[in-house]
Amino acid sequence: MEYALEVQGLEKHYSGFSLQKVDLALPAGCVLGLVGKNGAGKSTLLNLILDVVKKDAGTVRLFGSEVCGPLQKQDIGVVFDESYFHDFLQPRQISHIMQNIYQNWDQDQFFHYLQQFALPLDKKVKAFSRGMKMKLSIAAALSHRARLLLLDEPTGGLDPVVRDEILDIFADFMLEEDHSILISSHITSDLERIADYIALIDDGRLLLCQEKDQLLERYMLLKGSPEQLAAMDSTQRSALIGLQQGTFGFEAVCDIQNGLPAGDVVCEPGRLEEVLLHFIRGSERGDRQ
Amino acid sequence: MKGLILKDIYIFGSNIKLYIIYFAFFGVFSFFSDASFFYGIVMMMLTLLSITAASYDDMAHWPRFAVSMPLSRGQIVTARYLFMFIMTGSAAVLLSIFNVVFSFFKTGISLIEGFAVIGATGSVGLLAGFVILPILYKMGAERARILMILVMMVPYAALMLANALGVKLPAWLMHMPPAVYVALVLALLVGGGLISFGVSRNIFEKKDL
Repeated sequence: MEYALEVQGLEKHYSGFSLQKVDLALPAGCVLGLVGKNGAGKSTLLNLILDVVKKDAGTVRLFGSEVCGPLQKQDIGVVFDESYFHDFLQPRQISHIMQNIYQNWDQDQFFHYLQQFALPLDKKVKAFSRGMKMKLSIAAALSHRARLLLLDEPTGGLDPVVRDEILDIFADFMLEEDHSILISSHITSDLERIADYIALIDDGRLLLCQEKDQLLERYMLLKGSPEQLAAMDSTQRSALIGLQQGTFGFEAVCDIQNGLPAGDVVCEPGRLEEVLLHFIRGSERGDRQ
Repeated sequence: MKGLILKDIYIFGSNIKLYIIYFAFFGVFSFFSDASFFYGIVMMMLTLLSITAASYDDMAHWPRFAVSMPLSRGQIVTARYLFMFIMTGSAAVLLSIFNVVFSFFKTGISLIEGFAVIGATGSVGLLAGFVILPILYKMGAERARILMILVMMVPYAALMLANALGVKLPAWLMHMPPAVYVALVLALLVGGGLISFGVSRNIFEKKDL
């Protein structure tokens, strides 16, 4: 299998936070959704991949090469969580600048996206709203025939209509077999829609990296009464992930490969957000996974 | 790299009208007084535009984005220094033309003196840039601001103090042939430039952005 991106043993240590031995792989032609709480390490991971931040250990392979230099970055489109274009620049000028940086810059495609996003060509970026700046960044990332998109909260600050439009554009991007996307997002419904793989990161640790459909088939939501919870033995209880107890019942995620607890507990497929939330809660409490 | 220089030109190009009015005002003012003041102002402003550009880059967090593009960190630093040399060169050309025109219309002004002032202020501007740029790369624009002011003010303050105390330059320095002065200044610029570039590049290569 060919991989667009492979990360092995990636580490970065700050005072107060560490990204610890992250291993993940993005097969070519797939979308990997990276999800986690604020401060979990998603942006740090993306910055390490791009060499924006220097890694303390580990390797990053882009398109099979350990070198992450200008040549490899020709094929990568990047959208950060905020736009870094200077306020004094206009989109037309940004196109001229990018034309002299990216070998495959496609000005017509860039202008096409600007038109689609209703962004004025000759207005300074400082007059743009946050959403407009994000759309500008996305247009730039999609306009140089990239094979890999690295997206850090690309739909943040966008209204639902535009978010839907942008997700359609990402889906169109994926029509090419050798195109891949690594997308970091809080909006799990977006990931549920476009991602093939889900990677969950919490407090600098990668909790899981799995095919989305397999994840949702394997980890089911378990719901029941306090009495049913009390009736479980210690082994069954320790297998529950992210147990949430209330006065009238409990909810947790369980791995059906380990078997289901006996009794009439309700076991049903959960939404991606529900499953991941339980994983995060479980991680905070140190649940076995 | 060409894209990075173009970016800086576009950023300052948006203020071109302001610069033209500013320089025209000083140009007319200096026509009736001392041209060397005009040469100094224009040369320093244009030479240090690279510093201003680096500050703008810092405020926009542009370096993070630049590194994600197909540019090496070395190229990003090189573009910064190249922009400084382009601005200095452009200022020198413009002011030289002004100097020639000026000398036709105003008697008693030495063409050679004018060129000497242009060369001297250009050299001072470049040397200031060579000191300030590594500081900017190390500390960022916000934290480096005070140091940048000191770099500009300390030599001036030292000269003022020396003048007030009656300190004079050694006789051998005062009577050196002009060609030796030029050679010394050129050597200082080349050496200073290489050291400055090396330090800036080293800092930026290792920096977490």
